[in-house]
Amino acid sequence: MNKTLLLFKTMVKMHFSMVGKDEKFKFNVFIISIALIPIGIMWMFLLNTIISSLYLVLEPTGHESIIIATGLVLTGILLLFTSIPSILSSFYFAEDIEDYLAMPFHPYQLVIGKSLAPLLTIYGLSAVIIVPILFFYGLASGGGILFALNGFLTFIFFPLIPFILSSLMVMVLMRYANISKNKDRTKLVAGMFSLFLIVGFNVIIRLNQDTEQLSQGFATWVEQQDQLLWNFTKFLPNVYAATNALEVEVWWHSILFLILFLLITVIAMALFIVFGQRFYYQGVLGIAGGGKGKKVANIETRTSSRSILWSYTIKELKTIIRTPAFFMNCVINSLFAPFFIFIMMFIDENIGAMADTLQSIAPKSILLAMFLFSLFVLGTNATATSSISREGTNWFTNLYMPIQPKTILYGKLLAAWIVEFVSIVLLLILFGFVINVPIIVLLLWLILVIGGSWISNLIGVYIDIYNPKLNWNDEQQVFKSRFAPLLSLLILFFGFGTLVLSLWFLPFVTNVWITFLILSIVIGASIYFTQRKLIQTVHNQFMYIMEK
Amino acid sequence: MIQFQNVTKSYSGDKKAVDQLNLTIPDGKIFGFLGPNGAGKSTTIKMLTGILPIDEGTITINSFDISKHPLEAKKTFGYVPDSPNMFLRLKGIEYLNFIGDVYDIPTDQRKEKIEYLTKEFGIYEVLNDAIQTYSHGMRQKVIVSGVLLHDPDVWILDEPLTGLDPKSSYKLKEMMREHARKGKTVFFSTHVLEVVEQLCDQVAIINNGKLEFTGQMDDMREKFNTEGSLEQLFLELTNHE
Repeated sequence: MNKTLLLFKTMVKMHFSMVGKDEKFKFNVFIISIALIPIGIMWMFLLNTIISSLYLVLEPTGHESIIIATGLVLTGILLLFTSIPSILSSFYFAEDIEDYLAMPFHPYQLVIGKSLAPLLTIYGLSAVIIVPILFFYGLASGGGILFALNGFLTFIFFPLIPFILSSLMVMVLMRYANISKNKDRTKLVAGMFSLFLIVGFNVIIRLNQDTEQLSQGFATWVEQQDQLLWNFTKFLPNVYAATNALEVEVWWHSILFLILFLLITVIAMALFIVFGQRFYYQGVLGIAGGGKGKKVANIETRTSSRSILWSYTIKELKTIIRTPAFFMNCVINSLFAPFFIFIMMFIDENIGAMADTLQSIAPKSILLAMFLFSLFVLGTNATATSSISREGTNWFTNLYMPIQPKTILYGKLLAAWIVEFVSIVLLLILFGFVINVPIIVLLLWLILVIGGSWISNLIGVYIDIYNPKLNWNDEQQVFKSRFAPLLSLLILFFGFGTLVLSLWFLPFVTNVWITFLILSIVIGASIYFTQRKLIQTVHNQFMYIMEK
Repeated sequence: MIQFQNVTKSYSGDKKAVDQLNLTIPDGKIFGFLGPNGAGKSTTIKMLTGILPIDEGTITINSFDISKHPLEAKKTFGYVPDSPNMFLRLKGIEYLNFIGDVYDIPTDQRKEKIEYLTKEFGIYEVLNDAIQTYSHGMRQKVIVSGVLLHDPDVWILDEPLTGLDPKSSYKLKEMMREHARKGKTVFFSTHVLEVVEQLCDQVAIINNGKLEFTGQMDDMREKFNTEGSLEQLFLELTNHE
């Protein structure tokens, strides 16, 4: 056990080696925390409204504990699926795995040590869901000390079971999947799988949702589905125990269920250790070996000359497409928003009504709304904000080759712009064919958004140059615990959001053409100044990026 | 020719990684750069190749100052880093084509050279595979092929023989000799003293950021008045604190 602790402590140290030492990081945390306050308040307000109104409706029928059960089931399912990619990359694909494999550790010890990274994600996610649910439920039901204690223990121990279930699934799967040949494909499939599950889950929830009578509808639905839900908890048995433990009316009843809840968790942990010991090595050994297909290169067709800029851009795009973590975060995630809205639009029967409504809205307002929405979609794209960080410790390769820093910068910008263009095309289809936006507005929007995409990338690269994350040992880490994407989105949104709002309300700007003209001038000017600043920064900072 | 003039570099704190380094690497010679771990070898090579900024002093490569005219200087040398784990997601042929584009190698020469070099090193067959699937030695070979592809005047090689099989190691050593015979420069760092004895015309030994010795092998023996092996000399020099 001492060795397990030692291993875990070492991994914790390595994981947090940079935290607290970086002043910029602290500053970013501060800024982002302030920016997130309004979103946090909205989230709390929403949860409070839902929980307190549900409680009012359900309390008379004695079904109120279903609120906690539903909350825990939904969180459990969310944790179950979102943790798969993180477990996969931490257990099997982290670069440091090989170093540990050579040391005299039991497989279960490695698995426990390697649980740190996925558990951090899981606890982070459950902190923003479970804690407020329990808090507002406690407020509504007037829960006392016993409720608070049980609530605290629920937060600590509840996320373990979804994590363990995902880990067991991954370990068994990896035992039998021939991944040493298809390492990249496995990562990609796991990532896409989680994403589609989330989309599917949302769609199902939306299909069953009657927004106008949410509380009443839900209460009736719950009464009908009561048995179903409790049946469902069999898949996550700790939900049943935790929910009953949190019903504190009869104290010994609550304590008994708490013991049951803890017992289930302990059994799950024991299973995790046994499975880890049994299956981990069988899956992880051989990961490092690459598949070597002996194919003779067709040199004839593959020697073509390109300009340095284009060659660099192609290299960037190929790296993004072929690296699963990059592909998921830069390409797939950015398609998510348009794709998601696309599905929502098709599901929603009111789509015809929306197209009709559009006819009566001023083209100016349509253009502004479309532009702001597109900026949000483009701003969430992680390609530009990871452009320097993606290189990792290999950033030095940009320094010894005779390539102008400016060319490298444009190569990265161009690659990010091309990736974002895919989202733009999706949005174009969405606006043009699904919502039937007037053609003139659509064309004006397209011109604006192409410029908007460039400016969003300029901001993204600028932020990444100042605070790159080069010391990662797993590609997924490039996108984790980083504020660059959020910061870029906030700058973009606050800057252009203010402009769009002003244009929306200014009485003398009524014409769509004038709106377009003003937006174009502002975008053009922003591009000019940001690009100049960026080139200057690259010129000054290029050599020092490694030393950051 | 490479010239270091009063080159100094320190990382955070006062300790100097390289301290007032003065060194001239002449044309037509194979120059070995030696030193124990942490002596300042890598820092020196990184400053030479433009990867690290220089705090004080100047480095010129074929009379181009690496700080003032980085692009011109970089075009004159080829660099093999100590770890070949780069461009892993590209296929071997894609990496070589990328190098071809960066160093403006005409298409007709490129095809012929890629074929020759990769066949010599025995990696022609796997050029269509991602570099990620290559072994350490194969990765090293594809990076060395990239350098030889643009045929620079100055070769800067950081531990180039690590991981190479005996045949490829022999080939690379032959190529180094041939390059020096043509009157061009080979600057390489290594820990393998036998290679230095076999290959080098001149050596420099760095320790604690300072140059302990530079000159020909015979001079070194003469200076320290010993007939012992280079290993003994090296240990004696680097332990003289």
